[in-house]
Amino acid sequence: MKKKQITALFLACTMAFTAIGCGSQGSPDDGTSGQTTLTDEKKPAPETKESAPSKDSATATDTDASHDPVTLRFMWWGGDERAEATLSVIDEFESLYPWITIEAEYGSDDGYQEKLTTQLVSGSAADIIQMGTGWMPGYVASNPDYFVDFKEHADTIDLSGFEASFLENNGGFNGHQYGLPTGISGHAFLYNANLAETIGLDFDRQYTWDDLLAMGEKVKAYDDSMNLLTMGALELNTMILRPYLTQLTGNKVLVDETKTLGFEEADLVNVLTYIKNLYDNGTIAPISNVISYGTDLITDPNWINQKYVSLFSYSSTVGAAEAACPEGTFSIGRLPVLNGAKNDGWYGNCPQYMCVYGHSEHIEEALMFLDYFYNDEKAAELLKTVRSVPPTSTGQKVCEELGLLQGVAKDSVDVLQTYGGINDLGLTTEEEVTAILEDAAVQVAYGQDTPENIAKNTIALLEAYISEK
Amino acid sequence: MRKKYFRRGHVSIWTYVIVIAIGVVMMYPIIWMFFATFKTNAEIFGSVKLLPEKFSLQSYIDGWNVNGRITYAAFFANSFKLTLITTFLTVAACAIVAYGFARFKFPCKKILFGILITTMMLPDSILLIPKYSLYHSMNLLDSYAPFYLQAGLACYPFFVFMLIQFIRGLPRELDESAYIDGCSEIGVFVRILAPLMKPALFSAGLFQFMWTYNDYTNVLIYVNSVKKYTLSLALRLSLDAESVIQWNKVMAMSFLSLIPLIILFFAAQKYFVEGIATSGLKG
Repeated sequence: MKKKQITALFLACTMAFTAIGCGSQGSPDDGTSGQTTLTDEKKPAPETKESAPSKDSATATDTDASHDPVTLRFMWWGGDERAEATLSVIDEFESLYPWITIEAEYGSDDGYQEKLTTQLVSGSAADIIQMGTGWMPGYVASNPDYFVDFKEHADTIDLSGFEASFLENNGGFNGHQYGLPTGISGHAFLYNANLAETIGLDFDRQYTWDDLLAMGEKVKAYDDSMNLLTMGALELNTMILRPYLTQLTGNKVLVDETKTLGFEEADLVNVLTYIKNLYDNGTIAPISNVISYGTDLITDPNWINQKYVSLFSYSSTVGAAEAACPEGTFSIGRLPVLNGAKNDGWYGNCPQYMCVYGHSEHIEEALMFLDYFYNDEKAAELLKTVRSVPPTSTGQKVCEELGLLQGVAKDSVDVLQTYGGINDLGLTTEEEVTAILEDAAVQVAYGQDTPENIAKNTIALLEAYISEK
Repeated sequence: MRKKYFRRGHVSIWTYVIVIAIGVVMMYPIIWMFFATFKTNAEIFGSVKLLPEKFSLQSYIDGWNVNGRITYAAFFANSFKLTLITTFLTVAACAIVAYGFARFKFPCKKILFGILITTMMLPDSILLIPKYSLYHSMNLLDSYAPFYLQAGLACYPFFVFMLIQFIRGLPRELDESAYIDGCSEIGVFVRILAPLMKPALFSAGLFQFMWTYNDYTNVLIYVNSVKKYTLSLALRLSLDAESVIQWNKVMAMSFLSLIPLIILFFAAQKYFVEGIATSGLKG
């Protein structure tokens, strides 16, 4: 008996410790919310000291008289090319404003969101943050103070270079501009032009989902070892399930305003049956061959060896898909639309946002940097298209002059701009909903159950999710 | 004549063949990785051949210079700095704590031991945010201090527990005879127990070295500046879905970063096995 009491005591102690730990999590956040006044110079001091030697000491002392040195942190993810271009822009900016030092914090997208969430919650996020479009609604819903509203700082950052409605749809939340789009991008259909011509497929005219099925059969008839499409769980959800449902109903999958499902059970059965047909007639490569490549479909030897005619991708990634198969010649096709669709289902958006951290001690300088990043010709020249086709008129003009706006990435943006579907960013793109929808599509792909049963389950899961909101 | 091959102490040629075959299978991924450093992307993904079409050190040179601003020399230095200090602190601190628990009577010993074991049961992910908040409030982020602090305060209950069990297996008579000869408590630990604990200390050190060297999540969360990145973070720098990844560069650097672990494993293999076997037997 005594032992049990002691055990209970341990557990109680442990729980108490844990509770204290969790409690302190919120407080620094609240404590720093008043720091936007720029008076508190406590924190950046050691950082500035450390980064000072890397700069020209003569210019640094020159400007020390008029400005206190400021160190900003800028966090982004991306490959080598993006890092290189962004670092050059930082160098240029630092030479123009010698009292500002920008600490670059870049890395892979792996674990980026986890890190960002931890930092936002504990009040230690970077001053300038590259943000995933899908995460932003969740962060804004949990605490709108996390981010600076760019509209309130129109005198520091010039937003006139953006197309107004594009800006509002990308980074605008209830009239606040918490994010700035880094580029124009969206869904893209990339196909192997030589193969398509040989087999007799035409993706340049507007085609329907049923045409896609018929073309899949044609490919199979041409060569049984080939498939029209390769798709992973992500693509099944974002490139078939969601646009098909939206075209069918005219609604987002989950309607944010009313917090209800935007479709009937019959609609979902309809879509899932369509996906089943795509697998049954071999239009899409068997999921068991593809699923292990995750989101890296382009590393599949079958893609490299031209066994797949086409894939759904994004404008920001079609270039990589094209480069992965050096022997193929690729073009951008139109995107499938249902006959009598209530909505186009496809829309142009942006690959990421740039945000300024609301609790940053140097909001003014962070905005100055973003103003340079978006509106300066030299910056545009350095940044090229490392974050997709630039969203500002300056960026587009510079890239056009440099001859960078060509190729599949630019073509995909052109195609996208002919569609006017609703942007389904919000509840529909939340992590849990994405997982539910991907599961449904993958179950159909594996033939685990009938589309009817899977639709029932999926609706139950989605309703349970909504009821918690 | 044949029978003698099966006698004890005489190893048949077939045993060697089987062992070498298993060895090759186990080493194959690393061998493949080594040859992949010389291949182009198309060769890596498009061909099943092991040997590359041509050998060139270019991928090592390009991979080493990440983007003209920082090289892998810095990442290697960071990794070693973090790993060696953390390992040393872990072993020293855990051994002292284990000595206390195993050899001394003090108030609330059982309760404290219970708490120690309870913390071992907590998954790391639960502690991540509270620990981050704590270090944030102590202004220790973007440095290796969180790692050193945890190691220096013996916050690795698994190692403490392992060492306690090991010390319990060492005869108390050794301590007592040392006390009779006039040795102090610290003297007993340093002169008598520590040399006997060598296998257990080595295995704790080796495990801690490997775990810290390979750690991704904790370094990702606590360290922000690229110049302080360790190898595990650096290797991911070039991996991104939106760009064309030069896999030979990534493979080359991954291969280089494996070398210290491979050397360590071969050099310390004796202690590895000894440590696990003896602490298991006596624990």
